[in-house]
Amino acid sequence: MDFYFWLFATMAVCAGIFTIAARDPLPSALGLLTVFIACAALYLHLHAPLIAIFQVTIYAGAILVLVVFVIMLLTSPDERLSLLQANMSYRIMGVVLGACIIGLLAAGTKGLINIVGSKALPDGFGSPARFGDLFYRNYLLHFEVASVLLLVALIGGIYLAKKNL
Amino acid sequence: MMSGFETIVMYLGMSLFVILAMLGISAMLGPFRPKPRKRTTYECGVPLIHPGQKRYEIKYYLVAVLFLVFDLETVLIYPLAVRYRALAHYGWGIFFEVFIFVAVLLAGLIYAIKKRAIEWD
Amino acid sequence: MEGWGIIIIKIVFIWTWTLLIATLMTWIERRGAGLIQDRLGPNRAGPFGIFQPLADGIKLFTKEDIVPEKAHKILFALGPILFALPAFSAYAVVPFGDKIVLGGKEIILQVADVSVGFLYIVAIGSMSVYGIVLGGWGSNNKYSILGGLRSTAQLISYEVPWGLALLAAVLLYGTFSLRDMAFAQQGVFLGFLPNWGIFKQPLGFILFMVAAYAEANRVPFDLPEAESEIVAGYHTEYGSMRLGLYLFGEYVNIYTLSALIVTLYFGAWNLPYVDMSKFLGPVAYGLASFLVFFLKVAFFLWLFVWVRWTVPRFRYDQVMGLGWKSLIPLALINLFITALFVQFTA
Repeated sequence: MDFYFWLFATMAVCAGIFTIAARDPLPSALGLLTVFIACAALYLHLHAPLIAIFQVTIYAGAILVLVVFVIMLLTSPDERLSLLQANMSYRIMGVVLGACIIGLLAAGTKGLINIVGSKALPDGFGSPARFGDLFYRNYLLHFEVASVLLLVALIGGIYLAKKNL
Repeated sequence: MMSGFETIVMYLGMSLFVILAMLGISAMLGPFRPKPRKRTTYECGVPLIHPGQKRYEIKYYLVAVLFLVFDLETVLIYPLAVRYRALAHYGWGIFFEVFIFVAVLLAGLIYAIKKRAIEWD
Repeated sequence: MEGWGIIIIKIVFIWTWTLLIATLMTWIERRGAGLIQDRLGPNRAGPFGIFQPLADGIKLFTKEDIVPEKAHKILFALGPILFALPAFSAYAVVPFGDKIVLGGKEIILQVADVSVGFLYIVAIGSMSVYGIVLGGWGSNNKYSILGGLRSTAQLISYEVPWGLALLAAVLLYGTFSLRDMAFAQQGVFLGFLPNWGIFKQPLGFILFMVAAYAEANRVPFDLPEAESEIVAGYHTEYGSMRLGLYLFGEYVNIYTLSALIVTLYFGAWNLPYVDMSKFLGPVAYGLASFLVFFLKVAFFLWLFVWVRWTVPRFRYDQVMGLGWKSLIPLALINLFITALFVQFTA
């Protein structure tokens, strides 16, 4: 079948498993970085270069930096995993919730196999210009609401981190 | 794959190859005489007081949150920016779309500055 | 689409060229220091010390690779690689000339002219923080970690005005292809000025320039290497070629940023008032465009050195204050002005 798909899909899955299996939080974050980059490669392969770039810039370049900073704020080498190891109910909860997510994903992807066909792509599919047009014509309100969402996130972050406002 | 990107992948591969070659040659040419003293953590010649990996301050987190918000803002405007000149023919709609978006986040920036979120004290 | 042979030749050529320039820069930097500070600078290895970079290279290659006992082995090893990989790869979408015609084949002097080439630079630029923060953390030394954290906070803070200045440039040119941006700067502006980005984006140019110095960790923004406070910052524990990759990556970054400044704001390979392609043969034109482009880049490379030995270092709170309180509001104003400009000229 498709060589690129299998290459990057395998990479993403392996890195994902490493992310949740790694004991140290920072190598785990590196695993997550690999997942993001493999996903970006998959988007490229799906003729969506802009989404691929977004994936790298936002997820790998911004969100993961935040994750790394949070790890550095929280980690003290002797405190690692102590909370999780002490309490068995966390593990049971994890298994149950994980099973729920896998079930939901399976339900969501049911029937998706029929969509994947060899239809010809419309002109300029996935290009930045096409995105710009969509943002302007169809999703203008969504675009503006996104800015309010970002504003809320900003205020929330300051509220959480600042001792005396 | 998209046209042009395989070239970039080749370029990345070339970079990785050169980096690994540089490290490999260095590892081969350099001596290897580890001594316990040599491998201690650098601390200006005095004994190490406490390890480096401890908890660091929250203000770095705050900078990362602010960065995330403004990075997202920049990235979201890119597709509009590239079509701006073409869409500007239809009037001022596009200008106000970008203007409102930026103004909302400018309000956020002013809030952050007023709340002394970026003060390094 | 060009054949694979030509693409490989281009990749190897630009790679060798970048390495050569970065190597030469280490020499120019120290000779420049000598010039500005009225002393000699390196003058022992070869005429004018020109072989000094070679000597440095041999030294770095033959040094012992010391890994501190307390270091995190994986992160310590990955740090320099993660730093150098984005630095070395960013040039892939930046042009180095117009085009050259050899044997009836037109060769574009750019490795990859992709539709989102510009965003590739933004994406790869945002990747460079990991080498610093993970290398610093992996060293498990408080100077390294503090240096890494400081450096990362500085890099991400200046990525915002950098990105916003680029955004204004995209708004102006209406394309993501750096090659098309270079073509958009031909001719004259307002009847007498060359049609260069600097005249339409003066504020954007200053913002980009300042942010570029901060992104490259150069003076006056070399806080990560503030030796009086944190020894050598994130690369305190590094030695041999691992340190070499950090230092080398910095010079490659400088080269890429200079080339970007030239492409965006100084007309790339275009000369003011003169259209070289009119009276030069196809081969001569290709070489001339490469030369013009490189001479412009060389000026900005020299500017990096010049600024380094002229300006003192900022304090950390000043760096963060400048980034968030001055550059970002100014960048938003610049975006606003550019949008109005495009609106009225459309």
